[in-house]
Amino acid sequence: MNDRTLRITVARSGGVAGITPSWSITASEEPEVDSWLSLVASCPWDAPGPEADANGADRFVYSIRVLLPTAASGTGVDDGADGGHPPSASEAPDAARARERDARVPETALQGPWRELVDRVKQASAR
Amino acid sequence: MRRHIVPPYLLARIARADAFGMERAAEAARRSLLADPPLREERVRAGKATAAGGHSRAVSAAPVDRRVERTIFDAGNTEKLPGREVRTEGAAASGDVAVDEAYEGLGATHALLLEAFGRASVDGAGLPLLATVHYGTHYDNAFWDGQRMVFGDGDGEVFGRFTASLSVIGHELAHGVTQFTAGLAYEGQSGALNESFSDVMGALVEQFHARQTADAASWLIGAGLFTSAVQGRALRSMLEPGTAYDDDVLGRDPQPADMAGYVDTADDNGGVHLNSGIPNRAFALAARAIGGFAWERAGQVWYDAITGELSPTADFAGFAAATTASARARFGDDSPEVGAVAAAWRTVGVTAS
Ligand SMILES: [Zn+2]
Repeated sequence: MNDRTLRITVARSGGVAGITPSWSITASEEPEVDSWLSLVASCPWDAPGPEADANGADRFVYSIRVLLPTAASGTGVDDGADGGHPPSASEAPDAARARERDARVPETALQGPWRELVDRVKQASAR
Repeated sequence: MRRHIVPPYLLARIARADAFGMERAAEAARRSLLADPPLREERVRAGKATAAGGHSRAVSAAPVDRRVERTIFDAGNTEKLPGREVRTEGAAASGDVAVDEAYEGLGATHALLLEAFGRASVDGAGLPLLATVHYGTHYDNAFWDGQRMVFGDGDGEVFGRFTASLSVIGHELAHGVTQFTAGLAYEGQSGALNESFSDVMGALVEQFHARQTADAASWLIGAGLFTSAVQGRALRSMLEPGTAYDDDVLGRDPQPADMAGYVDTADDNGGVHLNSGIPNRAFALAARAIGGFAWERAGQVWYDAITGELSPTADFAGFAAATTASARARFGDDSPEVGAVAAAWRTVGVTAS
């Protein structure tokens, strides 16, 4: 994997079956990378973690991790400089800052761009 | 404001009367109830107040409705809840296998709660039972959303429809029982205990339905959910955690069978579906050591612990202590039941505290 490669991994845990599948994509051609990056940038990485539903059980939880190409800094993806650390998202240590993002999203909050991102990764990795 | 001439409790009774041939009256009463649902809300509140007080058996002065009242909805492969109402209590089979399996499974679970433990429905106060089937597309799960059970059809490659397993239906409804009683926090060890109690009840629903002894039971959860393409017997084995499946695609069943294998993870709310293997095995071992029908003694002990003074953040050691105490209270200090429960927890590496 070279510096120009984008990698997105979606891992699902929970569910009554307790089975943990994961899906991932890599992209290194520019139009494809840009298309993924604009979707990544539209996700609410810095939104406060949604309240877990106190009374539900057996719901899925999604772990979403993005490894950004080096050149992606400044392409519209938040570089983490705002210092906000919501409980549901975290950033890699200083050295790799802005090269890696991850978030844990409960199924009940998997809407809008999160849902679109997860569905696209699933579809693309199935091909 | 709407006012009823017929009081709500009587409407509820008429709504269920179609078993006795009063179909038209029942339908009308049901419609009236739907238009004005305070009775149901009152029941929920009563259940919660009861649970908060920790006295699950001391119910309010209102008469408890011990009859089952099921309603099945069809989400039509969307993720919208509740979906379209497709089968109500007493109505004939719909011909849709998922609808009818959910209906029968709710009935079997209600029967276990009532006949084995004297509990009137999930809340102990006759709560109507709700289920939605055909949720989502290729949805590989069944869940409890706090008010109803929801079942997917499966992807067709690894999983078939999730109503196909009676133990899974019992498992989901038991999350409701825990919600109205111990309220075990769904995280870490208390979450694994929440999961395990659902597996215990799921297994007991199947055993009770088949009038099967602890020796004869499979102790499998979710047998029949995998398609024939999967190398596996079920989702979990309570007796031998970690052996339910071993498949090229799914990998091997990751459940630990004792504390030495306890999994520390941030996924799955702290591994609640993994570490439940440890208390699951304790239950299966205790039930087999005691012998006979598991719901009569081991099941009663676990039920007493969940409906007793258990903390919502109880860990395995605390639950071992609670089950040992409830075995003493019910069967006596020197009873074989107490010995079997204590030995089972020792075998899985949990020391009561
Ligand atoms: Zn569960």
